[in-house]
Formats: sequence, C-alpha cells, structure tokens
Amino acid sequence: MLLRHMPSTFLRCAVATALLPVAPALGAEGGPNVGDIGQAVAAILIFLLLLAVLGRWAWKPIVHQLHSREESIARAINDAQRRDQESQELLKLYRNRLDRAEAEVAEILASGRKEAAVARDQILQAASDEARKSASAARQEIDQARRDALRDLYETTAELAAEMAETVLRRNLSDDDRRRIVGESLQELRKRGPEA
Amino acid sequence: MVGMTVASETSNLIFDHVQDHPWPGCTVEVLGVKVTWMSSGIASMLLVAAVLIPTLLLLARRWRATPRGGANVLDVIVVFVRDMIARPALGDKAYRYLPLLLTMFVFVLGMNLVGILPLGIVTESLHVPPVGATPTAILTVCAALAGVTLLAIVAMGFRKATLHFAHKTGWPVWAAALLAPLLWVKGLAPKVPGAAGVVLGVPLALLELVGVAAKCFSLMIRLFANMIAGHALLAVMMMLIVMSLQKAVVNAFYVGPFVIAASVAVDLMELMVAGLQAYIFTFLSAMFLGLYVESEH
Repeated sequence: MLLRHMPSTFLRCAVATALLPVAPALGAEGGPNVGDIGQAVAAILIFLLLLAVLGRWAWKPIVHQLHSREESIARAINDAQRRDQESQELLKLYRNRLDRAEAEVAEILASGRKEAAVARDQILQAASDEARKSASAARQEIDQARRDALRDLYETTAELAAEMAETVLRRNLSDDDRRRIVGESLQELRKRGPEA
Repeated sequence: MVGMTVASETSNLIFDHVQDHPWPGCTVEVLGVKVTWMSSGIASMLLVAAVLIPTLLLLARRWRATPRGGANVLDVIVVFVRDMIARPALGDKAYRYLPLLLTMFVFVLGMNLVGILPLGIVTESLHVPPVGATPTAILTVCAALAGVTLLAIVAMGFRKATLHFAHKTGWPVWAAALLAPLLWVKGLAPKVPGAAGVVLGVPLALLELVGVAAKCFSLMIRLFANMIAGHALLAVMMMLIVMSLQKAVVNAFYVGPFVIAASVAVDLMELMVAGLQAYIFTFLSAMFLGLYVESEH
C-alpha cells in the first residue's frame, strides 16, 4: 500500500541495485554452465510467478492458519501454565488447611484425652466415695444389727437367768428382785461379752 | 592418450545432462548480447514451476490446523522454514517474510532436485528438445536468485526507512520515500559518536552497501559451486571406469563395482546436498534480510 506511493525513480533505483549481483549474467555469453541473461530473466520471472501464485493461494492461508495454530498452542501453554500455577497455589492452600486441620484435630484429641482422663478420675473418685459410703453404712447397719442382736441375746439370757434363779431358789421373786437380778446379769454379761 | 580422450568424452557425457542446452532457434541477439529465451535449463525451471504450483495449491487446499496425508509433507516444510530459517534470522518478524522464504526454498529445492532426474535421456529418446538440466548449476540462474534476495533487501529496507522517517519526523510518506535510499544507506553504517562519526559515516555506509552486494554475490557463488561440484565428482568417478577399461578389461572388472557403488553414494549425497543448499540459500537470504532490514543499526 505504502510502496505504491514510492516514486518510480526510486523503484528503478531499487531494481538497479538488485541487479548488481546479476551483473555477471549481463555480460555472460554462454559457456558450459555460465548461461546468459535469458536464463537469469527466466529464473526471476518464474520465481515472481511462483511468489505471486503460491503467495496468494497457498502460503497466505497456510501462514494465517499456522499463525493461528501457533497462537492457539501458545495460549494453551499459557493456560496450562496458569492453571498449573493456580493448582500449585490451591494445593499449597489445601495443604496449609490440612496442616491446620491436623493440628486442630491433634489439639482436640489431646484436649479430649485430657477431659476424658479428668472425667475418668472424677467418676472413679465418685464411685470410690460412693463405695466407701455404702460400705460405711453397711458396716454401721451390721454393727447396729449386731448390737440389737446382742442386746436381745443379753436380755433373753438375763430373763433366762432370772427364771433359773427362781427355779433354783424355788420361790417367787418380786418384781424388784427380778429387775435387780436381770440388771445385774446384764451388767455381768456386758462385762464378759462384747458390748451390745 | 587415447584413454584420456575417451575419459574426457565420458566426462563430457556426464556433464552434458547437467549443462544448459539452448533449444534450436531459441537464441537471439539483443544489442550484441546473446539472449536465450528457451533452453533445457529454462524448461527445467518451467517444469519445476508446473509441478510446484498445482501440487502446493492442492496440498494447501487440504491443509488444516491438524494436517493429514500429503498435507503433512507441506506442514513439515512450512514448519521447517519457519522454525529453522525464518525465526532464527528474523525473530518475531518471521511471519512477514515467510511467503518469500517458502517460495525461495521450494523453488531452489525443486531446481536442485530436477537435475538429478534423468530427463535428458528421456527427451533424447523421444527426439524432443532437451529438458532436465540443473538450473542451479547455471551461473546466471544463481545470480538471478541472489538478485531476488538483494531486491527484497533493498525494497524492504527502503520501505522500513521511509516509514520510520515519516513516523519520526511527521513528514508525509511520499516525501519520506524520496529520501528512502539515503536514509537506508545511512542506517547501514554503524553509529560512531563524535567527530569521527561525521568523518567515517559516509565511508562506512558505502562499505556496508558494498557488503550487501558482496553477500548476495557470495550467495550466488555458493549455490552454483555446490551444485556443480556434485556433478563434477560423478564425472570424475565415471571417468575412472573408462580409464581402467582402456588399460585392461580385468581392471574395469575390479574398479567398476566400486565406482558404481561410489556413484550411487554420491547420488544420494547429491540428494542431501540439494536439500542442504536450498536450506543454506534460504537461510542466508533470511539472515541478510534480518541483518539489513529488521536489525536496528
């Protein structure tokens, strides 16, 4: 487009300069492999024909598609690199999260274990206290029962002693005597036996 | 002596299919200069173009982002030229010059390969004008190809210098285009600070200008010499059979198989050289374009 504006003088200058290396051909007069200007002109014309035809109908679409393909490949590579970078960042993020989660889990586990230990100790302590209380109460009940039993035994024994005394003495004892004998027997039993 | 003569004739026979043969009545004289307008070399170039145009157009039509079948070959060539030639030499401007470089590569490759085909024998047996000379083994064809490179350097250099100057100064493009040759040549010279820069500016610019032409001249010589060398080597080898045959048949019996094996190897090497020279020619063209057009002097 811009070359159209170039004055023809300069185009002629350009062509003249271009023909500089063709100078040997201008003076060539044939020979085994030298040729002459005819072959040179033919070569240029055929080349220009090829350039015009192939340039218009072969190279232009191919170069266009090649360029598009290259851009597409470059874009795909860029996308892949970007995605790779994103993946790496995401992986890093998830790894951090995972590390944090693992730390939290470890902390929770430690705390749980600690709480469980405390709870276990409390339960054990409570159970132990309860058992102790139960044992103490049972012991008291047993003592009470034993005392009651002993008391009954002493009383019965004293009664028996009084009756035996009556039998031995062959007389009726007054109530006062009976009470005195029973009382004395009880005191004597208590002195000799376990406390009722 | 007789042996040498026969050997020389054999050598000529070998070279004969490589050399350019003007078609009968196709040579004229213009201002005292002989001009051949049709020859075996030109016919080979036309044959290359006639093969390349439909083949590449067909493959290009089938070419997709993920090519299949024959389009894969085209894909390999295009990607090779882009990645191994255009991009190393031109960087991010590779796509701008890719059509030029692709055309140059396939054309030079086609011309190098057409010389390997035994088309001369076919045309001779059919009694038709000869076809099949290696066009790149003709000096003037190589000169024309180098001229195309130089033309591209100059045209693109002028264009860039024009646009750069117009953008920098705010001049209209047509006015900047008037100064394009001067601006481009000035841009070729390396920057030298101070008074030395003023004194050396013009000689350095001229030296660089000569350098541009010299580089394109070297392109021509390199392609021509490499393409002619393979044929020369083949001719020498075939001469060995004939020379040994002159002494004794038994010698030829021993020498012949080795020479034929070596000739096959050289032919294979020529195939490689054909590709290699197309690559080197295109790569150097791309490099010069990068050096003189796209670089910031």
